[in-house]
Parts: sequence; C-alpha cells; structure tokens
Amino acid sequence: MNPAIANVIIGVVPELLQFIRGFHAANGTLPTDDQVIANFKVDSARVIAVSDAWLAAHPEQNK
Amino acid sequence: MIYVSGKSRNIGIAIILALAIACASIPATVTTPAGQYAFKADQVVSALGVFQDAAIAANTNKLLSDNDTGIIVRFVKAEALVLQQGNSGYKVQVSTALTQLNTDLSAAAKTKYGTYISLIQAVVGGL
Repeated sequence: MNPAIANVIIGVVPELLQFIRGFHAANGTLPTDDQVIANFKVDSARVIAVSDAWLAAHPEQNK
Repeated sequence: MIYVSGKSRNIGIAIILALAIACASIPATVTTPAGQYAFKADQVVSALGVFQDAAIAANTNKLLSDNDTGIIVRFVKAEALVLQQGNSGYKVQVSTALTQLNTDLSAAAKTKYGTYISLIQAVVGGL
C-alpha cells in the first residue's frame, strides 16, 4: 500500500469513527431527537474541555 | 492519538469533513426543532473539534506556535459556546469568526490550516 495512503488511514480512521459514532444507535437505526441532543451535548462539552485543558496548560494564551 | 504529518493529515481531514458534508441531511427520525438544531450544531462542533485536535497535536510536536494554537483554541471554544447557546444565527456567527480567524493566524498557520478553515466554512454553509 502506498505509504502516504497508509499514513492517512492510520491517522484519520479513529477520528472518523468517533465522528460518525453518534449518528446511529447500536442496532443501526436512525437516531432519535433525544439521542442527537445528547450527542451534541457530549461532543460540545468535550471540545470545550479540550480547549480549557490546553488553555490551563498555557496561561499566557488565556486572553 | 497517532500524529500524522503535513499533507497526509490534511488529506485525511479533507476526507472526514467531505463525509461530514455528505452526511449533512437530517435523519427523518429527528423531527423536533431542538433535535434538528442539535444535529446541525453537532456537525459543526465535531468539525471544530477535529480542527482543534489537529492544532494541539501540531503544537505538541512543535510544529505550530503557542500563539497560533491559542488563537485556534480560543476560536473553537468561543464557537462551541455559541453553538451550545442554541442561537439560530450561529451560521453567521461562526462564518464571521472563521473569517476573523483567517486574518489573525500567522502566514505559516494559514498555509497549514487553510484547508480546515475552508472545509468548516463548507460544513456550516451546507447546513
């Protein structure tokens, strides 16, 4: 396999899987309103937590 | 997370976000205004998260300055908070902030992350 392609697959598959995980229930059916709302809350909280962690480690950037 | 360098990483992110755009249709099972908003907002916040993760990974590997990383992290946090508020004007807010981000970043960061900015604009515009 082309090393560049392998590099891409290794680097992005985990993130791709994480990105699409919230779109379907375990049995493969489409999500409900409550599920998408819950997914959004989890995803947005995670993003903000990552931001806060990095900013806490770099207080000079916490403007 | 495994660090993937430069062009390969950008190609991979372009694939992820292109799929995000392709998956932008709201499922028929999501019928309430709150659910439909959450679906769209989750797509944007997920793309923002991918962008932030890439910037932080590059910063960890000394490939992106603390200053540029801080600009990206503060931008992502601010827009994630906007999305959490449930404001129907989020598209304009996020698009405006992306334009400002493109101005604030160094030339080197813009070269590295221009693809992410363009694709996030496309995700927002496609919703």
